[in-house]
This record gives sequence, structure tokens and C-alpha cells, in this order.
Amino acid sequence: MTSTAELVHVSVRRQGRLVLEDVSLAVHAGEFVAVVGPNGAGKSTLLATLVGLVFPSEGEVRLFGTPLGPHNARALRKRIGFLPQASPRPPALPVRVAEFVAMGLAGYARPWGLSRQERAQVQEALEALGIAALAQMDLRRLSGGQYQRARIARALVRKPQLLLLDEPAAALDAPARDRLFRLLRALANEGAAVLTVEHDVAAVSRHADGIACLNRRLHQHARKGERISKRAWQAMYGEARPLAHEPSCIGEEA
Amino acid sequence: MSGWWHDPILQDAFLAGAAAAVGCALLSVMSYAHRLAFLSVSASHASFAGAGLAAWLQWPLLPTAAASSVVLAVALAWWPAERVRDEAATGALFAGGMALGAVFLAHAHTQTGFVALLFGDLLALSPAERAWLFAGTAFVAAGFVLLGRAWWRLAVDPEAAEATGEPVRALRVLLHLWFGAGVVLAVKAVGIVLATAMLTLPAATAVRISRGLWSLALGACLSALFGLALGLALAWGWNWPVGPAIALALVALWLASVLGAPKRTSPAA
Repeated sequence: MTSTAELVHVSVRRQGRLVLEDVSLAVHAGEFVAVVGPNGAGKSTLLATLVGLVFPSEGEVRLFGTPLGPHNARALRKRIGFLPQASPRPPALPVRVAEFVAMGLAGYARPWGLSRQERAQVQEALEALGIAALAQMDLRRLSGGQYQRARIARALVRKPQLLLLDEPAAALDAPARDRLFRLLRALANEGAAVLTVEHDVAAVSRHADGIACLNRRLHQHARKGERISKRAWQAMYGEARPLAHEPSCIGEEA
Repeated sequence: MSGWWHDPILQDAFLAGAAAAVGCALLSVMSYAHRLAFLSVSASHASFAGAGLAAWLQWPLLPTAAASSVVLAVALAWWPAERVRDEAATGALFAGGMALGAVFLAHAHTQTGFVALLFGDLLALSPAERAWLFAGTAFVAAGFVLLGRAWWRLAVDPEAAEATGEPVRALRVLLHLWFGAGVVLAVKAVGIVLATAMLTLPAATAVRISRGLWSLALGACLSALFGLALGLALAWGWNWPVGPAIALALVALWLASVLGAPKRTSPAA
């Protein structure tokens, strides 16, 4: 089966430092994979490499079966929904929440605005994230959690085949976090490939199909029904034993 | 002071100035959104080099001045921002543009009109200059309508725009080109020295009561037109030079908007 996104023996150097080393990881349509690891493990770089914002010094990235390079990165990105790591705060510009979400659509830039179908997509994304009631609110008045949900809605609005999210649950309270993971699960069930960077291993494990354990190298790709090995935990966090919040198995409710 | 409207010279100045004000207001929206105050100062000073060159070689003044600010603005779009925005680069661009203009000017046959170029000359526009002002405003308005939303999205979240396949580099170059070409509108209205007032303050004044791109553009246009009318009234009533009077009126409006704005409510919990 062709993977939607794949890293093949990828190494990335940034400012002379090896940030990713010989990482191979594939995400298929219908799959929800979470990348976990400590701060500085290279998780955000891994996503940036998949989006084509960073190119590997060794190895290859394939998106939708096509090798990714500077020549086709922009075209391939149009099929991706990407959420960069959290912005510290909304921009100091007058933008309503619905318009902000609409910015995720290619048609937003048209001088005559959105089509009826695109407006429906915006409404759908707002509802999926539980912020439809805030549609006409100024972005500058949102709380951190509400702003984060608006950012996620913007990444989802174009119904991408591949969804790459960098810490989407940051700033979300526990119910909103659970609702987000259920939504990502549902999107994967509908056929999207979802790859998310996450710190709360226990919470995301209940919904994901796989957990990729990263600390410069990929130490384990634990799949549904498997456990994260003690060796992988140690390689990531330097702890001999699993953390208290470690789930029993991937895909199992606690 | 309202009697200025019956003065035919000021009527003409208002009509030409209104065109420039609308163009500058639209430029100010993107200047505010993309934090281009630096570019507005650099490009207006660079236009002095173009104006000096035009005087020396006896080329048409406004198009040559516009071309020189376009060249600088597009060059700034290509250079890495961190290299351009350090203080040494700022000094080099400002002083270099003005000094080059002065050197060209020293070799020119005539130096008429250069004080007006520094502080604006709405009261002494030739028919050709008036036509250039209207054409410039039409160009700025067309650029705003066609690319305004793409530029707005780029301002709101440049990283996300790039990551979702927007032609970010091309949009930035076009933005600078558009801005550089439009700068001469402000130069004619209030002069090189005060151009930044026209290119930044209208949107900064309107932003507190705006709800989106188009309402910000409308608010900026109204603010610029009101500033123009107030400036002309001050010039007529108290015999102030027109360019500085307009700039001071815009500053006063901005100050009033800052002091009169309701205190920003804290984000929802």
C-alpha cells in the first residue's frame, strides 16, 4: 500500500547540528499516528521536513507517493493541512474567527470572496472544533485555548488528505483535548492520514493507531495493541521505568 | 477655517490630494499589517535619488522617482529581513538615497521644485502631475482589490501561508513593488520627509474600530480624507505649509484614536 507520507532514512542537519538521524516513518490513509518525545527531540523538524519547509541532508521524503523536493513542495503542500507550533498570541489585526478559518482555503485570496460551498466548509470546521458561536468574534479577543481551536479549524477546513499538526492540544483544557483527539480519530476513519506531535502520551494513545517515539532517532513505532518499550522510554526521557501516565497499550481506553 | 473650500486653488488641491489620500490609505493598510513603516521611509527617501536623477538627465520627475523607490522596495523584498533591518542598513538606505539625490541634483540644470519634493506641493501641481496622481491611485486601488486578501492572509500568519502552499515569496515581492510604486503619492501630497505619516497613520487610526480588511481599508480612507481636509483648513486658516499641516492633522487624528479608544477588553477566559 502506498503511504500518504513517508520518511525514508532521513537525516536533517540544522545549523551544523544533527536534529534527525536516519528516521524512517510512514503514515497511510486512514491512520492516526502521534509523534512523542522530549523537548528538542526533533519533532517539529520532522513535521517541517514533511511539509518541505526543511529538506533532508540524507534520505528521502515521499508525499502521496511522490518524492518531495524544492521543485514540487509548494504544489504538494496544497494537499496538506498543517498546523505549525503554537503562535504565542493572535496577530494584532482585526480579523474575525470565521475569516481566520477561511484563510485555510485556497479560494480565500479571490477578490470576490468565498463560494457557498467554501462558506459551508468554514462553518463545518468551526462546528467540528466547537467554536461556531465565536464565528463573528474578533480574533484578538479569544483566549489561548479558543485561538488554538481556531488554528486547528483553519488546518482542517480544506479537508486535506494529510493532516500534520504540531502540538495541537497545547493550551486546550482536558475536555477540549479529548474532543480534539476524537475528531482526529474520526478524520482518520474517513480516510485522512493524520500525524500529530503530542506531549500527553497517555491521552493521545487512546485514540491513535501508532506512537512514534522520537529523540533525534526513531526509537520505536508502537502500533495498535503494542506497548511503548522501556528502552524507548529511556531513550526519550532518560527514565528507567515508564512514566506514571503511560497507557497500557496503544489504542486502548484507560 | 471652513472657508477654504471656496478657494479654487485649495479645491483643486483637495481633489488631487483626495486621490493621493485614498491611495496612501490603502497602502497604509498593508504597511500596518506587514509592519512596513521601515519600507515606507526607505522607499520615500529612495525616491529623492530618482528625482535627482530625473532633474540631472531631464527625465520626467514622478515616474523616475517612482521607479527608484520600486527598485529599492523590490530589492528589500529579496534581501533577508534580518540583514536589512539592522541600524547600519537603515542609516545607509536613508542617508544613501538622500545623498545620491543631492549629488544628482548638484549636476542638474535646474533645482526648481525640490523643496516641494521634500515637504509636498499639493498647491502647485501641473496637469501632468495631477494625471500621474490619479493614475497612481488607480494602480494602488487595483492592486489592493486583486491581491489585498492574499496579502492580508500573509500578514495574519506568514508561516501557515507558506506551509499551505501560498507563493509567499512572489506575494512579498509584489507587495513591495506595489508599495514602492505607490510611495510617490505620499511624496507629492506631504513630501519625502513626511511621507511616512500618509503611509502608516490612516490605518493605524482606523484599526481600533475595524472588523476586517475591508472595514479597515474604508476607515483608513476616511481617516486620510479627513486628515487632508483638516490639513488644508489649517493651511488656509493659519497660513501653515500644506504638507506639514496635513501630516500634523493625521498625527492628531491618530492620537485622538489612541486616547479615545475604549480600553481593550481582556481575552475571554
